[in-house]
Amino acid sequence: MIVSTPPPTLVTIPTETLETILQYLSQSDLCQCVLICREWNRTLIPYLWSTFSVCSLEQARRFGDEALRALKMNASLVRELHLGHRLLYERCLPWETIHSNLGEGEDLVSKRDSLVNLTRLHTLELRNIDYPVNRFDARITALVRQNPSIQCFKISTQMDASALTQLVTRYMPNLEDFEMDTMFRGDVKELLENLPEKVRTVNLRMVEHLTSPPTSGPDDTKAMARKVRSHHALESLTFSGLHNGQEEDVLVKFLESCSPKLKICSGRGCNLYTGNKAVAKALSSIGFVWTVLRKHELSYYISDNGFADIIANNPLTSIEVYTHCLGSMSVKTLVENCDNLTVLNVMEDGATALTGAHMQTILSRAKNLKSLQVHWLLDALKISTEDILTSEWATTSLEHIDFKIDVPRVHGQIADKDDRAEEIQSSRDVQRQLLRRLGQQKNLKRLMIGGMVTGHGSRHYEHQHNCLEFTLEAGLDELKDLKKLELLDIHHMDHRAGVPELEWMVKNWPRLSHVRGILDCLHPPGDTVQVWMETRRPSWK
Amino acid sequence: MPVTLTSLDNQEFKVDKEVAERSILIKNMIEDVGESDAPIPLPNVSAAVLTKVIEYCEHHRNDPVQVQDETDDPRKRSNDIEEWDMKFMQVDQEMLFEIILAANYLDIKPLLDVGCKTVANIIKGKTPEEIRKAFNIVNDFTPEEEAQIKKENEWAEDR
Repeated sequence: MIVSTPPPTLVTIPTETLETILQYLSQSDLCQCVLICREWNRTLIPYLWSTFSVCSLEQARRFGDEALRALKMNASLVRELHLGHRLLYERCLPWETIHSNLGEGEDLVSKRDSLVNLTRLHTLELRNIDYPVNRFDARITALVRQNPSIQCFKISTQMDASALTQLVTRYMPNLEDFEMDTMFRGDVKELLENLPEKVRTVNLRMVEHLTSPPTSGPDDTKAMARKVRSHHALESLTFSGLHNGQEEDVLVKFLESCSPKLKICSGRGCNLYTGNKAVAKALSSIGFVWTVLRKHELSYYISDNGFADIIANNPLTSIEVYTHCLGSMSVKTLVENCDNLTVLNVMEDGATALTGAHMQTILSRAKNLKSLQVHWLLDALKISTEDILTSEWATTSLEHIDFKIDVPRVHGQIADKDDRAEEIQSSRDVQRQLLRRLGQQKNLKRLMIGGMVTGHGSRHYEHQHNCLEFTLEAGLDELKDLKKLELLDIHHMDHRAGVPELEWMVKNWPRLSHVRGILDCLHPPGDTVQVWMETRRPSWK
Repeated sequence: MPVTLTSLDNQEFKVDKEVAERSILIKNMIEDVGESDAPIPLPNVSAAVLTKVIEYCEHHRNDPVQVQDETDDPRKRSNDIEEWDMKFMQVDQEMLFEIILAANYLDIKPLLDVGCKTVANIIKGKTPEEIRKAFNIVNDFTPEEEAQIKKENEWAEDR
């Protein structure tokens, strides 16, 4: 016998399925959903209020008395709090009875206070308040002290450095992810060494290390008492702003407190990690090896042999480097050790031994390669069709291609072209084969083959003549499976894409949102292309 | 080798093993029991729904195993449904939710995802009145209550 049950609806399906649906909805959509009926309201209010995020002035203005009352009522539902406007700091942060010198045992917030129930945060983000330092310090401290559950803390609001240090090192015992995007002028050493032990990622954007003034008490006992917390959970450290020479003092002790879990060390504005012997030693003492190497970690003046050593001795999967660092030794070592590369990003700065043929070898060996970026100005790094078609690519997971491809093309006046039909056909056949190769990369999101090249042996930059035509006759349809393509860059190329090609792109590439260089070809596009671009695809950037 | 599935209303469906194994639940059952001719009972799925689910699995029988999208964006996109799936999901509301429930029970993640995206797309960008119409829901708020709720929550709208 079949028992008839009422048909399922949005609010009766299992919670986890409902949550899957909600992942696809914005806060605005949720806002509409709580107005549908009582049942939907009851089910969805907790989801709407689990993230309280008001970051624009416009939103802040809309945050009226009714909303504040609702915030008080729903405070215990809020897990993520993102504040991005001064008005909200004034309205939302607990303030009654707050004064800056709270004792350990004192009540943090008056029971009458509006947000006494805002105590279950796991994420706190305080953004962009250009306000005199110290203005909100006491309120922020009070909020943090009533939320020891905070796991993720992001701050780009000015705070007094020692207040911020105290906040993070004393009142966030569960902190895992810490991001600071504001100037920190203070004792960076003290902040780092006392970070909570569970911390997993640390990202400090602008630090200026100022040693704390000596405090009272004999210096010897201070030094004895100084104990660095262990940071065995730390996986990623990103760091910038130290002046040259300070790295050693600030970083060595901290790095020694970490464990082999540390996989990413990164920093801007100082060649911290490979440039300083004591720092490098501290890193190797915890068994750190580079898997990801960004341009900032590599000393700008590293020698060819020095870089070759780094490549040979570290299991690198992601490399971001300037051309001048790649001399013949490091290129040779790079090609020999490229099997596990996922990202290679070479930025133009000076002469290099790297060529298009090396790039092709890397493509034929690195089976997990996701991103191969070679700055578009690099004439020598063009990969020829011949390079591409003579060997298979090992990877099928390319997401980002940024290199120039050289193709044999037939040039000359239109009048000549009838006589050269065979030549044209042969060029198109080659182009089709090449596009077929690209078309196999079904995960491709960014296809960037645009950019100028040097012309005729001079250092004069011009349009690329020997480029893909990018027409359906020349095999564009081979790219029909690139369903994830978001960006196409064919600027400064002498391509021939017209309205049929544009229509084809719209039909076959559902995610395409950025297109560069359609109107940029040497063979000026007809009015129809202009009109099409203006009317059909206003959403392309 | 075909597998026999029995629906809630005791209808039998013969399908290829590789089609049936799009369902992780069934795949695990077959692994546990071993090769057997005995029909597999699916007491939570009606014949009408099972017909649809099998149609989906037939169409996607050769799909590679889904890899998790590694996007950091917590808000996922729902505008990437394939054309065939979109047509497949053009069913009435009741059937849509039945398919979602069945996909959840049978553990067919790609079908569950497409179903969830379809529901999300019905809601996205619509006014409350349009959503009520789409789901055939009667508004049981008084106008005052509705205005009050609007005021309390409108901060969340990103206009």
